[in-house]
Amino acid sequence: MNTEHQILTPELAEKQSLRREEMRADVLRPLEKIGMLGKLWIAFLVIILLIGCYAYYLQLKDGLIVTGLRDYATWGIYISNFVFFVAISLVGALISSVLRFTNFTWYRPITRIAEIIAVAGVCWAGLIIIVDMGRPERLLNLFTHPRLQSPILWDVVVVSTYLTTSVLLLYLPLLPGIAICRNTLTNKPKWQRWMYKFLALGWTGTEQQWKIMKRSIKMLCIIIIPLAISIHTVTSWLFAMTLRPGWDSTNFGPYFVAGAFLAGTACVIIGMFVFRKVYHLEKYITEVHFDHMGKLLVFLALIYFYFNVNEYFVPYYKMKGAEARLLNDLFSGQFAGLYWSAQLFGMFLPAVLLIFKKMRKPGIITLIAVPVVVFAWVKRYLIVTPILLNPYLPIQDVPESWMNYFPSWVEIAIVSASLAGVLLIITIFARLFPIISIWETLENEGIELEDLDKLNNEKA
Amino acid sequence: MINNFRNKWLRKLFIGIAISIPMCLFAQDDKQAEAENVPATMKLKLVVEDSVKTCKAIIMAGDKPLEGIQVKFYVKRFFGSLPLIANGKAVSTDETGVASVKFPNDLPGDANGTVIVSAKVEDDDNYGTFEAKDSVKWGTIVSTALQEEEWNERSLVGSGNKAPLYLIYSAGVIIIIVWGILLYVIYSLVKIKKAGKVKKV
Repeated sequence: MNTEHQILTPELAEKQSLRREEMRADVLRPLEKIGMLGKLWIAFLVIILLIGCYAYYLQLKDGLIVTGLRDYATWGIYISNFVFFVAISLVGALISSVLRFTNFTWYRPITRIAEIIAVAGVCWAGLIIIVDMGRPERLLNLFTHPRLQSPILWDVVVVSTYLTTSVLLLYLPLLPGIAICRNTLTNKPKWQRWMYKFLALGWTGTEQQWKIMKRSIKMLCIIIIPLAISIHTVTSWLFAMTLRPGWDSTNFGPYFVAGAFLAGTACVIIGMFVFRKVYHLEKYITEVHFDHMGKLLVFLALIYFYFNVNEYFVPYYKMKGAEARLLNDLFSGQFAGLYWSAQLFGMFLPAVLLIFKKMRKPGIITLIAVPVVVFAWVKRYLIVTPILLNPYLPIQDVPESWMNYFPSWVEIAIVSASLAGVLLIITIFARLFPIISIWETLENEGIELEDLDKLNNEKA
Repeated sequence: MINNFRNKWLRKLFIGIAISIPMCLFAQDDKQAEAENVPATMKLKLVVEDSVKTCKAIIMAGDKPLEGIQVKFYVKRFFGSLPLIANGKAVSTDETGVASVKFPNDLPGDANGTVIVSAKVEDDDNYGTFEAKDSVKWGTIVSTALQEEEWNERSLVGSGNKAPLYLIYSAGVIIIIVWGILLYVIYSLVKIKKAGKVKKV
């Protein structure tokens, strides 16, 4: 990065303008036309979403009896999915904010990928928690009869606050990009041109506009760090505030936050790989970015490993009562396969493999990141369900179906639909807006769009 | 002739015995059945003997006391019945048909100290299941006034409108600060729009 502010001579301005035009063409090219593969991908996601809608209709009609949830396993894959979505949404804060304040600059071309993953994740987190309710219309009672002492209310407050912040943090840096779309993509349908015009907020790149935008982004970046930690800490408290073996832990807040950063980073690596390939963005999302993300993943996996040791080794050493039953279930019982796979493929192996530089190449690191994401989801399932099936008072004299949990097709369809929904939001966003922030990436190269705009405006 | 006579008598004697034995057996069964058909009744007496609160169950079949019947004693609680003997063990009636158990002095009752005691015979071979109940002011008095006072206090376990003040204030301050910043940023969007218009002019 060129940290020194250069004096913008006409020659330099000309050179920088050319670079800007080049990047604009590269970034907007994928938005010009959707290929057959792109259409098929969207159609596939929409079909899964519609199947999920039908399954939810059945659940609304007949109640939660159509799910595998019963009196003991009252939370199943819906809540596991909710925790997973909240987890991946934290990456927006990590990439946009934490890295910004640590004076790194390499992350700039991937901020938007991280932010859209965050927005899509938190949107669906809010929806999936409503799906878990047998009587969703009672959600209003949370607002008409609030109980401030309940972690459920804290969760609703913090999820809606985080969603607003994430949307703003996605939208504000996008303003110059939307203005470019408005000015360039003039052959698009009327609604799309109207949308660009409306969302661009009359952006012309005046000095005042740049100043307000940058100051607002800075403010958002400051508040999003405590908010991101809060959202996942409060999510962990939904469990930790309940007296259950396995959840009754003071370690839960940082344990959740660490796991969330790991899962989110792996999601961003996959996103980087896909957009780089599909949108031909090799010039902007380079091998250096994958290398840095690989190192970040190792660091986060080691932190998560530390919290896992605390979370499982300490109760394992004591092996008391119900806790022992749960740990036996996880270590050598019915959940052992999932548990050890999650620890091995979701945390331990990635941390070891990505130490080697060769493993941090785009293709290989993506192959390593995929199981990290898959087993991050499995890990959330293991945090939710086995604990409910191992209560402090042993389960006795209850119907067989209460003693086990396996998701019904309705649950699987709804959860698949929510995953498709996240991908659909990301896909549609990337089809309408630049997936790389042009001004932030150019700033990384020492080109201040603000100065160029100023020059252009003066000329005009 | 004599032999014939003797054989006749012996044959009659055998037939007589063969008929009379089952008849005697049936007659005995009828008598027993008659005894068992008399339903057992249980009276529960809650008495204080030498300053000891005692629950006595007296079981009779008609006017005959029943010995060896297993009786369990319970006290009604909020959600179920508490056995008066640990692990829900039963007490046998003696030859006078009485089974008794001591009542503890520290068991909470209602606002008046009233407790409902029950004695129960469960699945007896001859008499089946039956019970007797009675109420008595043997429980310790639980002050509802105190409960109400606790209920009205602000606490983490209280109702929504009884949230602790520190929680209301701290949550309120955090929400106001965070949403204040967010609203300011949203207002900044309006300012950005205005700044663009100024340029045009």
